Amino acid sequence: MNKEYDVCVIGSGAGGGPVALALSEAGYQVLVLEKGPWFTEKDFFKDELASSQRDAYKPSLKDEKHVIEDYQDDSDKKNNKWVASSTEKGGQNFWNGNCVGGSSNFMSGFFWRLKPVDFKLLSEFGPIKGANIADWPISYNDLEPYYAKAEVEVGISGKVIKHPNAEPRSTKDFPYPPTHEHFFSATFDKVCTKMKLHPVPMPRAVLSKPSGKRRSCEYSGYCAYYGCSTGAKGSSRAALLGRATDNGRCTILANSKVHKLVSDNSGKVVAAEYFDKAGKKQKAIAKIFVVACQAIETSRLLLFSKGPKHKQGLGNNSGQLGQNLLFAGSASGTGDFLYKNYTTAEVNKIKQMGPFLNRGLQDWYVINDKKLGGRIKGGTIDFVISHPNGIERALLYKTDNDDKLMWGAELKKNLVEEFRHAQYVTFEVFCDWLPNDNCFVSLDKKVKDKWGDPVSKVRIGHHEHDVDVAKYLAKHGVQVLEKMGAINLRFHASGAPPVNLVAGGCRFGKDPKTSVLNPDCQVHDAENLYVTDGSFMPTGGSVPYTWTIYANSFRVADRIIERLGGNNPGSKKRPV
Amino acid sequence: MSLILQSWDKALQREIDANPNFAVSRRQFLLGTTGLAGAAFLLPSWLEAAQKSTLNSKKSDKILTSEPWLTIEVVYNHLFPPPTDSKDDSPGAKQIKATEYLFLALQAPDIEKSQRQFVEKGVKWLNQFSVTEYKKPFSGLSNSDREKALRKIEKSKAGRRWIATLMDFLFEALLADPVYGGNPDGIGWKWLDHSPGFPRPPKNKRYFLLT
Repeated sequence: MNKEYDVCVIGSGAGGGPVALALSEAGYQVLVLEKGPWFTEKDFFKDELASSQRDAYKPSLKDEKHVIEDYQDDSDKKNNKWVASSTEKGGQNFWNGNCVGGSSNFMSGFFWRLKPVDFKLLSEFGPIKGANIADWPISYNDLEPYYAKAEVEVGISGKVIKHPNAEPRSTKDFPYPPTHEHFFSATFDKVCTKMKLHPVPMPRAVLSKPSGKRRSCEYSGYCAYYGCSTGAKGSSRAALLGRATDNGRCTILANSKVHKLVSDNSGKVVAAEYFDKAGKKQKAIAKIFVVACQAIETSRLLLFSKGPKHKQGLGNNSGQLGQNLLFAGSASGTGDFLYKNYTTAEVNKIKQMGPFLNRGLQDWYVINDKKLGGRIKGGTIDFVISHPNGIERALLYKTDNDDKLMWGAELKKNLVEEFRHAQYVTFEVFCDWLPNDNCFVSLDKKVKDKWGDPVSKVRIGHHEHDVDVAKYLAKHGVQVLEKMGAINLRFHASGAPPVNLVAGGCRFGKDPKTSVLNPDCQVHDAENLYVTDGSFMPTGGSVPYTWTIYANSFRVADRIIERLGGNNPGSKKRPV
Repeated sequence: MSLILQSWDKALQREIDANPNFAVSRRQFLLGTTGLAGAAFLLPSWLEAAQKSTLNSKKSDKILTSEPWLTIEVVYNHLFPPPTDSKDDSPGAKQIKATEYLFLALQAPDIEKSQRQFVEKGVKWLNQFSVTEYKKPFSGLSNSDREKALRKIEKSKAGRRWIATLMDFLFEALLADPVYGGNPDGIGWKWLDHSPGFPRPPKNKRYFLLT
């Protein structure tokens, strides 16, 4: 007979890690089921083919794909329609890294907290036509202690400064000082102060000092998309799961793909059915089940897990499951800093790989501008040294301005200019992705994964308001780059979803008719089932989601511990 | 557009219709992450030998002295020519081992067979076109006729796609880690003053061997 665990966690990323660590530390037996393999620091290299060109840390699209429904604008507007196509046939890859630790292995680790206004978007700013905005059932104060906890547990480096949109915090400063800074950080501060802006050192889930088994950042450059070979990046794997398995009460099964949760007549979940590495069906039994597969796959798993009390899928008696999926409103821009405008000594510093620019602006977190209709929610602008990926940058010169393929002397000249004559600074805008009726997850009726289960169908409609806000912020970003001395300024804002910033689909709320989860992130009508990835968010705020996911997962972990009877007295001892 | 070019486009469309993966044939269907452990050992033995030989000895020369690689070598030399004078510090296709890299990269277990066939078929098309237009195979053309021929075939969808595919791999030969068979001693990195970062991938952890 299968061993009964106290808690079975499905998915080992930022949503699963905190539960696995907190529950095992409290003395409970935890099983983590992870679809992907178990990579360690020894499997992560600065290999652009692995990390970027061949997506070696993502599943094969032949085996596992998504069906994406995008809006096709017909020229005469008569035949506008939603068109579905499998990601196997091209377009964006909607996977973000499937392995122990999930996509947190491959994040940049730009960590910002939400702010108090983000918890009450509806009451602060009022409704917007075409958007399903809702206040959160908890406030910033409820989550604050867990943001603080995540700083310590995940290892967040940074420096607290006062600025007009700074959120309140219970601790004085970050547990780790900021990582080393690039030459441009000081330029940025000077320019922004002159513009009467408030440059904020960007908090990073990157260790500036060693901690436990994790080494400090070694400043190799390359961070986004790449697994960290020192353990400095605060992935769920490096920061949390290592300690969870070390305490002896957490078992992680990699290559274990949960395909269905089985529920009984009372609505309770009784087992997680999964396929092991050999493709054989297995069963995991636990008192409590926690789902954290990243938003899209969480909705898919619950939709597929129909039961006697959950005829439309687990937690879908409201019809809300999979609805109000969120990406992030976004824009990005870049400017070129030509070496010829600097002294040789300066150029050597500007070229330096590794140290981070690490600056952000939150001056427009709330915008008050008549042109945009008065007081509205704005966002964050992050400034970073552009990613150094060589092949990716060379591919920019595949075609010329007339879309002719480039080769020969012309290509060589362009490559030399790109690589040898300038450094580049990129800014990224984060603003709300308004929840709307055209952004949701359902099960595709035809396309199946390699185990024979229907894949997620994702409709990716956005609200035009998001693009307006993103553009507004991007224009400010461009001004800052210009004042810093950049030329060739360009930016791009659109309603295309950034696939690595995904949340929603299982809204939490007080009313079971309009939500999937209760305020403790327990699934309505399934009293032993919780969701702890970004799915719970009714609105996403204007920062990347990861810190909030970590914090909320630690919060839910506390609720589960209370429910199981508090800290287990046996917790200090390793089980025999 | 010439009839030949039109026929290529039709052939390409047939390929795409017959094989939905074709459109993304450079995409991963990675071994390992989905439980096919050890699949790297399913590589045909001649290929293992070829991989070793290309990295270590002269055996690959034998493979690369036959078609389609001879023509590809000529095409690559045109697309990414050797340095023009002593002031030019750029490497050419030969220096970055573009042809050898393409040969190896196409054998990687995540690369679709249709992709390999497309690269080979393109060579046949190019030579067919060259003979029809200039009465000589591509390798017999003058530099300016090579340029004209490539610009002409670029106007067809299939021809453009074929050249673009060669270029995708050429950029990798220039800037991917030398462990994959191009960019010997980081010659491309040195030319472009590019820092590859560390740690770098060892041979037993190339992307298709990760599991």
